[in-house]
Amino acid sequence: MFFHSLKYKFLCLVRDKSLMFWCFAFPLLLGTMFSFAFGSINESDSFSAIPVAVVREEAAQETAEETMLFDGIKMLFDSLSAEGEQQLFTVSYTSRDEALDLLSRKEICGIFTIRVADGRIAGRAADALLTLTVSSEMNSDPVSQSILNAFTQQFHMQYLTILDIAVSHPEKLGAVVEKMTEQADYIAEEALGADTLDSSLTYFFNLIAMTCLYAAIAGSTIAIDHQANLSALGARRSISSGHRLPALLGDLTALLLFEFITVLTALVYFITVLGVDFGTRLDGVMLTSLCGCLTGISLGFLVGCIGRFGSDTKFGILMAVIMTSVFLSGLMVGNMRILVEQFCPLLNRINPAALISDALYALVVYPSGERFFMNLAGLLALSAVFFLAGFVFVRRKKYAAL
Amino acid sequence: MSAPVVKVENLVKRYRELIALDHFNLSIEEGEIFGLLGPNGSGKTTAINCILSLLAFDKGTIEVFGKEMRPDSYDLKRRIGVVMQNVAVFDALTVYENIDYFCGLYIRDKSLRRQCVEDAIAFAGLSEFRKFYPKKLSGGLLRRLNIACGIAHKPKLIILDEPTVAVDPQSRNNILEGITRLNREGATVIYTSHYMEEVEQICSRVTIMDKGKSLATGTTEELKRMIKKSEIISIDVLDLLPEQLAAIRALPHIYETSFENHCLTILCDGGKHNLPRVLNYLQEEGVPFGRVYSELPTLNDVFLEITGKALRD
Amino acid sequence: MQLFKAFFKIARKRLGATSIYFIIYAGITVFLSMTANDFYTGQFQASALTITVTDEDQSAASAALTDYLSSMHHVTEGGGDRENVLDQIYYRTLDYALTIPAGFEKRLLAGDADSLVSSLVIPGNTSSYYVELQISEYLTAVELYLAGGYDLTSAIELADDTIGALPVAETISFAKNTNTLGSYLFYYFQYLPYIFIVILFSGLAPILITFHGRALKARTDCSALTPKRRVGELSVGCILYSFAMWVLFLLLCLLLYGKELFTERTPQLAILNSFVFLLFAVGLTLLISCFPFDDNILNMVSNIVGLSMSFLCGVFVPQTLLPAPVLDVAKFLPAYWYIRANNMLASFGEEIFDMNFYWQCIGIQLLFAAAMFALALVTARQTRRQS
Repeated sequence: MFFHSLKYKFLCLVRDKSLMFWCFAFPLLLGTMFSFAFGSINESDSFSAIPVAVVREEAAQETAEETMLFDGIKMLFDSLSAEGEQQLFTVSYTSRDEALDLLSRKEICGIFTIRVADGRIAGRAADALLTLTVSSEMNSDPVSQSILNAFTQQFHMQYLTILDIAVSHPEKLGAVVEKMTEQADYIAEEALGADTLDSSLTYFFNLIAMTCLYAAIAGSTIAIDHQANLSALGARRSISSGHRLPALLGDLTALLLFEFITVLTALVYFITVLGVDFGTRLDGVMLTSLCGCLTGISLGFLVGCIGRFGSDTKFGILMAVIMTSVFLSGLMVGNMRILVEQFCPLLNRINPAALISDALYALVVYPSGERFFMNLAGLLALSAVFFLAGFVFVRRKKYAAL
Repeated sequence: MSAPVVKVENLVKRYRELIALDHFNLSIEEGEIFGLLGPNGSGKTTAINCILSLLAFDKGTIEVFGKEMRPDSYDLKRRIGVVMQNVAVFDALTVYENIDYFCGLYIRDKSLRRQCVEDAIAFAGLSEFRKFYPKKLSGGLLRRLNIACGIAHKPKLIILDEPTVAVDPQSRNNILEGITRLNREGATVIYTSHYMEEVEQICSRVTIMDKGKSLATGTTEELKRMIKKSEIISIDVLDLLPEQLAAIRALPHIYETSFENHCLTILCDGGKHNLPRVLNYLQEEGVPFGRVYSELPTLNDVFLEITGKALRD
Repeated sequence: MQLFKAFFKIARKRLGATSIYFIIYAGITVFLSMTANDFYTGQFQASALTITVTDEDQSAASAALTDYLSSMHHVTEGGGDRENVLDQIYYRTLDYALTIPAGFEKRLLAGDADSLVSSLVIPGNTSSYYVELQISEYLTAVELYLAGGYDLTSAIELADDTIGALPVAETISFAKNTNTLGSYLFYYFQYLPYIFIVILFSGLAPILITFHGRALKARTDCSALTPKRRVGELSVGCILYSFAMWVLFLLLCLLLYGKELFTERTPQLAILNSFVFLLFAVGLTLLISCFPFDDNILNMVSNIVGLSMSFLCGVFVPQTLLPAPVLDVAKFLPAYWYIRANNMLASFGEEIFDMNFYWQCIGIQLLFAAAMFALALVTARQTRRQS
């Protein structure tokens, strides 16, 4: 009975050409698009030159020393804005008003103001030598602002240190400058996983989660096809002499197999064609996909079993659950899952999409066997709950109305 | 005499206020083709679904093959074949595969099943279409496939719920012949329909039901005998005097006469040689007459008389 | 009017499913618009993080480093065993774990500074970047003073001093040039392209597909309705349906962000922008419904189209973060122009408001919409001939 059902359900799935096409095409198309949209997002991190304005604050009088210092700083900016690999800035020297105008029009990211005059050289405090002005309206580009800020701070630190040492230990100045040029790498990062984190990976994880959960639609169809009060096929099955459970399990297994093949195809495509790095634990990735499909099917099965709404309503409910699930797990906005983790961690433990993408995360990005198995256990527990609840409904063999 | 194949006693089924079955009784003996006749909404399908233990009912007992029928009576279900009103087949499977699938729900042995499926295909006349998908089949063929799916496992009791709805006359005859053939091969058949001609044609016994009640049960002849009217004679007559009409009315076994539009209609309640008697009278009176019809009552007349309304409104 | 009536009868039958879609996507929109700022801003201000320091050196230098970090962050010491730390990092209850190994001070004094300390951090966590920057800065300062001939104590003192004296960047606002409504409202509008496409595909397309169904189409084709009238009635149905959805979203926005939505100029422009995109979405839906997809497939198609367009055009990921070749392709999609206009209205990114460019965005979207309608008509005619 089990294999009989399995065979024919699989045949039915494979024969539905348009459904099959879209089941396979769905992850492939979206994956291709992700790969295109995010493929070079990490490259864009290796940034292009940041446009800045450099303003020299007007001074009543100026010593030769001060002029020299200004020229020194100007030389620094010139060298940093020289075209080539090392270019950090594109600099325009302007008046303050001009600079503000440029900033308000967002043509520059920040304004450096140099104050060398009026005996400020030795100053240690607030009205510092080089100050940075940024616009609060540029909030979509915080990275550039941070770089400008880091630059200012570093400049000052070196300046102040040299100032201190020049006063107290002038003989060591040479050693200090030498030290400056050979910036040490103080922090050894303990690798937690993949050497680099490709930020687009999380989108692929969620895409796989979504593909798995889409199995819910077909799962609900199975539930409907097995209930006499929901479909003619269900009625016919109910009156047959075959035991219902093996037949049902056969159908579900066929679907699981089918969905698993779609996800595997997508995985193969992602890895070989798109070159997405899923790490080395591919067995784990496959296991996660399998559990994910199982959860998807069980979810659909449960919704299919409950109530007598039309299939389009059940469909709507399922889509709502799936879309919410993948949304909260970060399909649209990548760090949503982390946000959820902060405000409602329980949600991440029961959200199937979050469990799937977290399991993949625990495999690929952050190798933690325990996490991985916790997530799989969560998926299996969800599937068990969904299936059992569904079976309770299907088990009822006489109906009040057909 | 062995126990009835199906025995239903005092079955009551309510849908909220609506009473779908009202102390419904049924007893079907082995080897019968039993007709369940009633208008749409009279409770035929509800009764069938209760017998199949698909529907929960409020009161009454149902026995099949002498045992209580329950949702998990798999040994009983193995001996029952059902053809539902709605076509229930897989669009993605071919004719052969569909029959094999449903047959496989009953018969696990593969070689035995193959034989059964072949028989069912031959029975339904689908040999040329075994590789066809249901979508490519005509309405009549689809119905035949639906039937083949229901009976492929050679059940002892076959329940057909309006299998001929929306089927062309040729396919319908084909189906009806098939049913009698199955019956000759030893199956007991329950056949529901609102087409009385079909029921009259093939059923050995009939229950007439309306509003959830079984109104009358018996062979077609028995049912017809239950009503007063046994023969309707109509004669084209050019002209007839009222006293002549009254004289005809006074003849034995005649209980109603009418004369309208040059047509004399006479209703008889039993007796033989009614027609010659009337014709003799007309000849004696010298009344010229044209065409003469004599009709026996139909189940429709039976239904009309029992319920006071025609079977098909 | 028969077809028109039937349209809404079917629409009512599907009301259950449609309202589920509506509620869920409205929920997503609201949620996104409420939280969007957290994703895109706030990274510049280095906020206090939760850090654990495992000090295995227990020296003056290691204590100084810990104190320095404590002055800016919530620091706990000796965060427990590694597994526990990993757990906390994993669930983001801990942002950063620093280990100061034994011999730290000795190596610092010797000028052997590479890999002085080690950190545990989740890859891709942006906040950790700032902590590392601060640690490096501090250690550099100490090292420089040491190289300058100071002893450890004074080097630490001076380093603390120096870092304390670093200037803070001045932030100015050009607020008078931008809207006073805050950008939340525009985040709300930012997600509408995805939402419109998904809702219309799942809600409206199935109704239209019902009418295109072979039997039903044959019947209406045979009826006394002229084709012009048939198309007309269905179009009116479509327009009313999508218009109703649009109005509902505007009402929701009104509820969330108050009446400035209708009284201020920039939100008005945003409303017009969304309406023009709605036209495109309706056109696309008409085109899609020429194909006999069932609900299941429609859903997949809606997400393929919706998500692709959204990601390529910067609905979810800001356009400024998208690489140039992606944006070049996106220019061939109307959502790109929608987002450009919306960015400009909200003054996201480097967009400065330019009325001419706004009208250009609207115009391009209108062209796309017109193209969709034309394509839908041609496809409908084509499929009719074939069947």
